[in-house]
Amino acid sequence: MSGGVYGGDEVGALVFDIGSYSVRAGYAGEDCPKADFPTVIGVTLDREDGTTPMETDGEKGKQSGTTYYIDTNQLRVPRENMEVMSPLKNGMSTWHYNIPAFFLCKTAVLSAFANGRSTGLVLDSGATHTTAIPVHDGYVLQQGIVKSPLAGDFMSMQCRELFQELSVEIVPPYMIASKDSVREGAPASWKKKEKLPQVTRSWHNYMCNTVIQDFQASVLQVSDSPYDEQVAAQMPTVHYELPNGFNCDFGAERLKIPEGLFDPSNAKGLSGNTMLGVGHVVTTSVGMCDIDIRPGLYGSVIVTGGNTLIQGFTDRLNRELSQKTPPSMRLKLIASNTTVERRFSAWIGGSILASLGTFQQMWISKQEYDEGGKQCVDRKCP
Amino acid sequence: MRTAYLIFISAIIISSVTADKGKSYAKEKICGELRTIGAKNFRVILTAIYSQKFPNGTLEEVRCVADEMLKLAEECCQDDASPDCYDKGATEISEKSCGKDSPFPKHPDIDKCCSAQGHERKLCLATLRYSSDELPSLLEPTPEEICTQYTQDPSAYSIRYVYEIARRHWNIPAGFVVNTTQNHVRMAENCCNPNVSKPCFFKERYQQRSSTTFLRFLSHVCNNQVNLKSYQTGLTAFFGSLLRVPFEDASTISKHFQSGLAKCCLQPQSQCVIEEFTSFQKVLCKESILGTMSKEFQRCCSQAPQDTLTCVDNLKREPPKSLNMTQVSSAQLCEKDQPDITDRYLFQIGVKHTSVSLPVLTTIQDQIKSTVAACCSAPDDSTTCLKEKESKLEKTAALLAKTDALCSQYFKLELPAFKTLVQQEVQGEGAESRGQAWVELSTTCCPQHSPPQLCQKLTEAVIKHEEDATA
Repeated sequence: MSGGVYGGDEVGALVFDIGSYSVRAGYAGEDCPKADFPTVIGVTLDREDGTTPMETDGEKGKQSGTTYYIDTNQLRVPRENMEVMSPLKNGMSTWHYNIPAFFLCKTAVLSAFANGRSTGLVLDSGATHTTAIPVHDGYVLQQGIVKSPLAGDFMSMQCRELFQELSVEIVPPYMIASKDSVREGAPASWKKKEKLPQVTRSWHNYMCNTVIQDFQASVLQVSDSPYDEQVAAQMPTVHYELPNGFNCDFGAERLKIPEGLFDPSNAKGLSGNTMLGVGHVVTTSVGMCDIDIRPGLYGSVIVTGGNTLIQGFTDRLNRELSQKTPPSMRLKLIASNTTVERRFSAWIGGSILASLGTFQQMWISKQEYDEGGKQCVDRKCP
Repeated sequence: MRTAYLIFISAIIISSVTADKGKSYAKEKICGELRTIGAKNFRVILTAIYSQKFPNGTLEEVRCVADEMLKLAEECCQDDASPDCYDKGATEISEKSCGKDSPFPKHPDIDKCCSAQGHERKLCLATLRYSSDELPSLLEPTPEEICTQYTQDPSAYSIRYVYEIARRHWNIPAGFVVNTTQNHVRMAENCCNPNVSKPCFFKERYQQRSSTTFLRFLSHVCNNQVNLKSYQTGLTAFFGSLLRVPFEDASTISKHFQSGLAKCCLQPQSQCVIEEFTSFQKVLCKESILGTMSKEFQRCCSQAPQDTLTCVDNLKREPPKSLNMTQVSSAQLCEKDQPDITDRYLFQIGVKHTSVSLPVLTTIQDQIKSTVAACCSAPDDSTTCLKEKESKLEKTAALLAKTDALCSQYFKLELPAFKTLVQQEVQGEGAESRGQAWVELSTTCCPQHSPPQLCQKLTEAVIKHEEDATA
């Protein structure tokens, strides 16, 4: 690439890390992403009878037709006929946005490098999957990748079931005009907002999920040893109040729900016992790799992903792995203490990579892509 | 650093046994290189060569012999040095090696050399090659660990690093080891001053990915080449299932590859390997094959030769759906008019079992070869011999099928479940120890890059257990 084409030395890059739950985006060279927003798009379509849906202040003068909304604030405003969809599931094309050049790199490689390593076992537990990806000398060992569907969304489902058992309705804030304070455990008492637009089911579910996810993040804790009812009963309780005023002290449930991540055998809603717990995901992945690199992988288990931020996750993982590996095996978990680094390690890796001087020779221009197609991506991107 | 000097440095080790005109030629070149690259770099190269020669030696012992050789070179390169300076010096060093309290690394066979005298002893010592079980790979140090150690003493760090890498990659040209060390030391130099810089380490490590992966690949294939008797036979089956080609084509390709390794692995310079692999890539990726191959294979072929090989090495192989060749039966194996019939037979059984690593495959093939060879050279009727050995041959071939099946399961099941599976499969006399042998073989040797010497031993142990059980 000649500097002339792209304006000489002052060429910057945008870095995107697109997950199932959120998108992290920002500028290359910075140490954290500027934007962190949900990976959903709100799409409004015209009503069938030809009239236009309700507009909010910001959109006066907009033409009728398909309108897209991204970002938490935009998405949380109730609008008529706004469906929520995931661009990952529905396909996305970068070329619609006139991008002059791009580069793709596997997130596991970036996470490893961001943590100062070119070899390690990257354990990424996010919304949809918990995945172990062995990285050796900067390359992903494809044959060792192990994926389990037990992750954030699985726990959200378990939380929903808990509330169903308690006969508690999940009411998102957009519906609530006012609420009364009630005793702990008592049914909620709240008033619904009047004149709410006719929202779609998908949007309503999305808003309910945000309530559940807040509960998940605040209340749940992973037990440091396999779940035991008696021990759990002694667990200090955490008080939590839902948006509609229902409030309760949660004790044993705090440990029981996330236990399914580590020991799926007793988890509700799982068909059969073929799911692997987090510990087994790691050991199975390492076991698929050559014997002489296994110490290197166990010596650098890099923990990333939002789901790993549940209190107690890394301690329990450490314990599980210590029990499953030979005593002589040096085991080291690398888990950043800050939320920023844990959720953003792949983004940070991308930021560093994109700011390297040699990066400009690596990217794929639109012209190259037009001529070479997908093959040039396979060839140039590790 | 140019690597041409390496061939001349190994001449130091052997120079005293070469002809007179060779001696002065070697001296000029060595002294020229010493002047050009300096004593510090010369020491690094000597450390690499001697660490490879004596992987079991301690750092102290290796440093000792490298320092002696450097001193010898420096003394004998003085303008006023006598013409027989090298000869005398090398003799003194070899005397010292055979002394009781030698400070140099001890090779297990050194006593054999020391019982010889003079010229013979020196030649024997110079050509000693160590053969040990593989050492565990080095754990990757963190940037902080590197910087702490490097800044304390940069020169000592560099010597220690080359020693640790060289003794773990002793069957490859020293040039690659020296290159890796230089990259690593340069990374420390650039990224530790004034403070530990993670982005700098990221950049350096990212750029070194291809060369570190290649080092590992080369070490693996050269270890196989040096240690496995029937490596070429195993390679034929490997390429047959990878490229989905018949015996003749697979055999040509494997011969090309294996002869390149035989020529280049134990040479000190990297150039030989580079040239051989460049020409091999052309053979592997030729147009006639490329069109029928998978997208992944084509993608591998679009890269530089070294990267093509490491890329192809990682591809999944499938057993061929139909073998376009006449099947060979064991009864035909001594037919004189078909000299490669045993190889065809071994290809036939090997190509189907793609989950078996090369060390295990070649050990089993070896076993079959020995049985067949014994019959073919039998004074009595070889046909009768083959008939008698038929069941033994079938059993050995069946072991291959069993290993293939077990290794497929090994990668699907958790270890406790796998052990249970093995216990269920292994019945009869000595079931416990046989089961143990199978588990050990699977956990160590199912992965493709399994250690050749150890896996040879473990395979032989399983063969013996199974033979004893059915005896």
